[in-house]
Amino acid sequence: MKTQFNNIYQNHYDKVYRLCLGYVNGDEALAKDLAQDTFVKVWEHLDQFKQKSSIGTWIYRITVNTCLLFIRKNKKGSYSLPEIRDDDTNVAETEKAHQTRLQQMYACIQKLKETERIVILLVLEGLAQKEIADITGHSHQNVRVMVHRIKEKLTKCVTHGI
Amino acid sequence: MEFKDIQNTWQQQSEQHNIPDFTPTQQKLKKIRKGQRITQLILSITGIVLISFFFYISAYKFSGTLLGMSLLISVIVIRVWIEIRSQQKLRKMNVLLSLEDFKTQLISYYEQRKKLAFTTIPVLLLVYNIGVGIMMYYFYQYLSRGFFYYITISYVVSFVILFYFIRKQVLNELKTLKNLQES
Repeated sequence: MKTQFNNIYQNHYDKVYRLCLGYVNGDEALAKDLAQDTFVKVWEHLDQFKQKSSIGTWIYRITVNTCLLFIRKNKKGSYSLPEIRDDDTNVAETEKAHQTRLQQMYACIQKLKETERIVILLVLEGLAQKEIADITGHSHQNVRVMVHRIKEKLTKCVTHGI
Repeated sequence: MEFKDIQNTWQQQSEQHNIPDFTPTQQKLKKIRKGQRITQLILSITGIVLISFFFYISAYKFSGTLLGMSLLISVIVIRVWIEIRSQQKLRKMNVLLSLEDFKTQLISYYEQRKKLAFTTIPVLLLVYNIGVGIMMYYFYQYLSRGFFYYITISYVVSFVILFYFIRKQVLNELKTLKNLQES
């Protein structure tokens, strides 16, 4: 069991952390806490994993629920731009543009409602709509409509800032 | 800009190269669980001792001060018990459910908290104040004026502070409930 958990932890930590990071507006410390909370729950419930879905989907379920549970703390995280070295101007400029866009994305994700935020983070991670339906408990058709609507909202916000 | 570009930007974020070691968390969790069991045991023993003491005293002598003190202690014990139960309920929430079912579970939890805040808590505050009122009557009779005023002012100040924090917590939970219902 311990080895199985360690493998799961090593293989899934990055995606769990990234989803949490998106949920708490890029605040790394909060995201680390949420990711740890998620894995505590994975560890506690691992014997209940029935293999009805893939382990990845099962872990995402726990992650999104842990994120939603975080709502009670009413904390607002903030995205901080990583430091960029000035030795290569071109690279620095490209990197700066990339970071600014990321910052804008985090801000736009924060404007979404709780469930919308979770759904779009799953989409951004590249999950299939069927898998998202399995995680959220919505029908595939509902997810399709929902994803389309949130995608439009996010694109509009990132492009025009509204 | 297309959504695909946004997705690319998102996925290009650097990965965590140093995955934190999970062993300290596991050990900490074991310690917390042990601590929780000890706290529950201590609280239960204290509760039993207090109740036994109450019956032992009241069997021989009934007085207004005993009634006042009993009301005050009962309100505090009930309030603490409500909070402990709420925390336990929150911890026991089934995280294996789908997001929608989990959200429903969370909404129901906050609706119960709302009901508590608008029904049970005001009653408890009222009973607490009745207890204080009874005690004040005896304080007025048996204590010096200066000490009586000191107790009265201290009580009013602490009650205002307590009320402020209860109100803040309730507003916070109402906001959480609203957010969940709207999402």
